[in-house]
Amino acid sequence: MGKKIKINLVQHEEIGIAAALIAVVIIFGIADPAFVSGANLVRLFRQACILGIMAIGVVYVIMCNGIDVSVGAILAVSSTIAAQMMISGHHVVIAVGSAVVAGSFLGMLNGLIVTKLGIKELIATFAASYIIRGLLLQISGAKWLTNLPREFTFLGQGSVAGIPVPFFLLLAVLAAGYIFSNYTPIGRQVKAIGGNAEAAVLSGISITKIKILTFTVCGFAAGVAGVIYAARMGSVQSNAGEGMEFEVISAAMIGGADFNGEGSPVGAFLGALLLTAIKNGMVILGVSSFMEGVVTGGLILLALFVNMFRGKYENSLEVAGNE
Amino acid sequence: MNKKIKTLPRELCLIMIFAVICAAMTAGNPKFLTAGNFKNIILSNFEIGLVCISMTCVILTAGMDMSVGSITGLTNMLTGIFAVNMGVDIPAAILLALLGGLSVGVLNSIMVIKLENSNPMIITIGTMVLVRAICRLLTEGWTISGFDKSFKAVSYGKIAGINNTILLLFVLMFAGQWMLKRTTWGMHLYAIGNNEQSTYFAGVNVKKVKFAVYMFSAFMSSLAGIFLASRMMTSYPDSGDGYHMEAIAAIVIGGTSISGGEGNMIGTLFGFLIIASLKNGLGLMGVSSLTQMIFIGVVLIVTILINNILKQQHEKKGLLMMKKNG
Repeated sequence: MGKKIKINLVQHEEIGIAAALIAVVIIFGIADPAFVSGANLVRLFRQACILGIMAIGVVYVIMCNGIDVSVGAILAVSSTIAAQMMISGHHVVIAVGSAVVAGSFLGMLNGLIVTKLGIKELIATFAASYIIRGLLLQISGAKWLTNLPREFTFLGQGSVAGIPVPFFLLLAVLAAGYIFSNYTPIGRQVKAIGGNAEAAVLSGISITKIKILTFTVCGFAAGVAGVIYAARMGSVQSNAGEGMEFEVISAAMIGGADFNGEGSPVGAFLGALLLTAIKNGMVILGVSSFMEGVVTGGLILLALFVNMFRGKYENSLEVAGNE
Repeated sequence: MNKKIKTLPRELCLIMIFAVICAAMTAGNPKFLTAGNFKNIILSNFEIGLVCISMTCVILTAGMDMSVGSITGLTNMLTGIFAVNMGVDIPAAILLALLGGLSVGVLNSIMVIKLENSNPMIITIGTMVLVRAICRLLTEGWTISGFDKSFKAVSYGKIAGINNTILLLFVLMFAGQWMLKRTTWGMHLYAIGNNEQSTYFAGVNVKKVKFAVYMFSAFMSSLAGIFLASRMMTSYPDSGDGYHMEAIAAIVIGGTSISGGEGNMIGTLFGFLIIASLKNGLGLMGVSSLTQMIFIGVVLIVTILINNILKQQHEKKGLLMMKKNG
């Protein structure tokens, strides 16, 4: 009986990261009670949204043995499109819709470059991010886009029943991601390709289709994040989201994402919350902001070791079960 | 059956791409095609060239080291801290900074060996973030200047009228090519990149080779950090930022497969020259650095496509030969 519970705990990779999150909240709460005040928790939720949505998107790419370093550039495109369209008088819904579609399209383009042209993910998305950022700057001319309408900034700054609107969006993306990866055949196929591409092909899964899909999902998430970015800041410049790629990948990795089909949207969500909580707590405690990267890097390496031990423990359980 | 498939040697193709880029840049600004400017191209990208050499070895083993730029930054900062803030003699400061960089290499190597199930790319992204934060933490983000004048000789010294950095880069590139093609160690790199398991079963100490390769990577990145400090005569926390991507881009343009087991140092040399002269030439034409990004991205994709097509043709040719011979 006790053994069964243990097995279940180990099988859910998110348990470790959830425990870490709770520990961090308790430690910061003891160090400074202001951290666990309602106002600060709401602020924390609001801060976590952009990172969280993008991390959930990138998890699928990483699970499929890929990587996407163009999410920051896609965020910049989508936020610029949303802002520019509203400034030139389009309705908010149309502006938001086009921004998200543009993000998904760029993601799909990444997927096409990777699968159809046979260029490896790291190089393809790196080249894509260079081209996207360069073109964006050419077209938009590095202007500040400001004076966004109230209905739009509500998406980033408003709250319903005390909870920030973007957090609802994050939860919606999380729910969609959870259902996608656990209850749809395609979601399982993503894991299958990451785990063993050859076996997946032999069982009739199209790697090309699934890879394009993962990049499209990642682009979609970056597009949504871009809309929230524009709404939250209330102004956009074309260098938005610069250097965000590695923060996003870090959040996903802290949440247990790794090659070989490891990772889950819930893990990425918790990873983003953990990173944001640490960042927020350090500001409250007045710790040097440079410590933040040290903690992030340390957490990634720690997560890798935890994954290794979990894998070993799972294997030993399987062996014990077979005997 | 008798259909002949024409194939181009990859190196010849790279030389042609390089020539086309040089011609285009000269058309844009005739100043591009002068000896002084070529010296300039190599001098201002010398540090990335060093990183390219070791990164080629890492990628040949189907590995990846994303932390090279951060290691460059760390040694760059450490050189400044030891030589200026602590007043240590310059040779001693260089040695201490090298040790700092190598210690990150030890961390990378051990983790790549121990965490067999994790991809080296993921592992080194962790050290990349960690070490970059340490660089900034060391001086709380401040730059260090005020090196002793004699330190300048490291980057600006000349041997027989040629800058010693240019000499060093070419010597190392050709030594690297020799090592890859003519030594057992080099062959082991290719073997591991092609099939790690069979290399292990063939009796090669895979762990030892991997340890050496990541240490080599850390060593070259550390050298880059010291040369950079000497060239700028300052240490700054963001130094070496983005080196990993630029080095990977140069290597992939040079025809080295990012999945390992294929490629050579001559290709890397040309990849490095192509990117460096592209940046320099566009700069001479007055193209802003963000617009340069578009060109670099496009050249990257196009050259990889050409490499892929060449590779397919070679494979086809190989198949035809096999059929002919029975």
